Amino acid sequence: MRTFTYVDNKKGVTIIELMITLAMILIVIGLSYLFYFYVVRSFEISSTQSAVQENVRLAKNLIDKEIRRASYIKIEEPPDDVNKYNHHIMTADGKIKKDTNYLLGNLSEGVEMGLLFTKTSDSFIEVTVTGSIDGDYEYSITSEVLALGGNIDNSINDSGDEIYFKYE
Amino acid sequence: MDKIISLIKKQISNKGMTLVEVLISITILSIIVVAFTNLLGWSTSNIFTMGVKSQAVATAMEITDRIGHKVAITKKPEQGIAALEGDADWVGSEDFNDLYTEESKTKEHVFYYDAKYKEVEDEIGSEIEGYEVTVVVFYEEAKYHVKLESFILQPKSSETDD
Repeated sequence: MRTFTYVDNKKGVTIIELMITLAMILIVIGLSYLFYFYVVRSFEISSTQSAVQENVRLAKNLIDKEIRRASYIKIEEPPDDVNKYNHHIMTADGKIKKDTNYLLGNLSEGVEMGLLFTKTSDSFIEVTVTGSIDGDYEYSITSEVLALGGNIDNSINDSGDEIYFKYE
Repeated sequence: MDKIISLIKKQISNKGMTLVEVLISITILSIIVVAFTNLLGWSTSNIFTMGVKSQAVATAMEITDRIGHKVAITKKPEQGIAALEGDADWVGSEDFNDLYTEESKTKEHVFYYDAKYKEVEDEIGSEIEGYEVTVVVFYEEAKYHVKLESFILQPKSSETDD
């Protein structure tokens, strides 16, 4: 039975060998867990940040377009003459609202949006759109927009988070 | 018979791996992991860079709007050219690397623009007067830039188109 002596080897592993093996397994598992959590965390940050940026960018583009088209614009205070300004953009519960509809629909779910309009000259309005999630992942875009239709009313407020306007 | 015995011997060999082999494989594995980690970090920071890019695009549109507004309130090409003259921070260079300096790197958005008066013919053959405007906005410490090219019409009489 010479051939089976190799298989029947009853020598086990020494305690040193066992400990080295255990230590190495531990190191590998520990590192993989660290890596796994790093990947999960960075994926979370990336996707949340890009969601906030997407919303802000989209809202900014839509609002810019409205301001360019509008023929009468008024910041903050609701106008007395409703017929002159029949559209408005404002924030409600962290969402941007145009008239009675939410501007971004369900897209901005969870993203808190903020607006700031400032009249900087006779034909320019500075528009700031901010977005965040639970006070984190803040992002904002600010730029001045030319109101091609002219007629920005500034009799009451120069700055505010609501805007009233009308198309010709 | 000998063949079968040697085959059995081969299959039920319980020789493990040597320590050196294990160490080499761990090293290779960690090299792969580090490479992937870099890729991941790069893609995350890219999202933030794209955010700054959107802000730079908004700035470029604002500057184009300003140039358009300056031209829109004029009535004749001479007035339009005069309104833009002396105001252009940059005229005509194609080499963007020469445009920013050490000082401008410290600012968040550095921009340059160029406006050239031009007369072009449209499809019907009538002449159109306007300005070829190029706005360049640098971002991320002038590592990147966005370039916005547009054509702004010179209003003739009462038109205020842009």
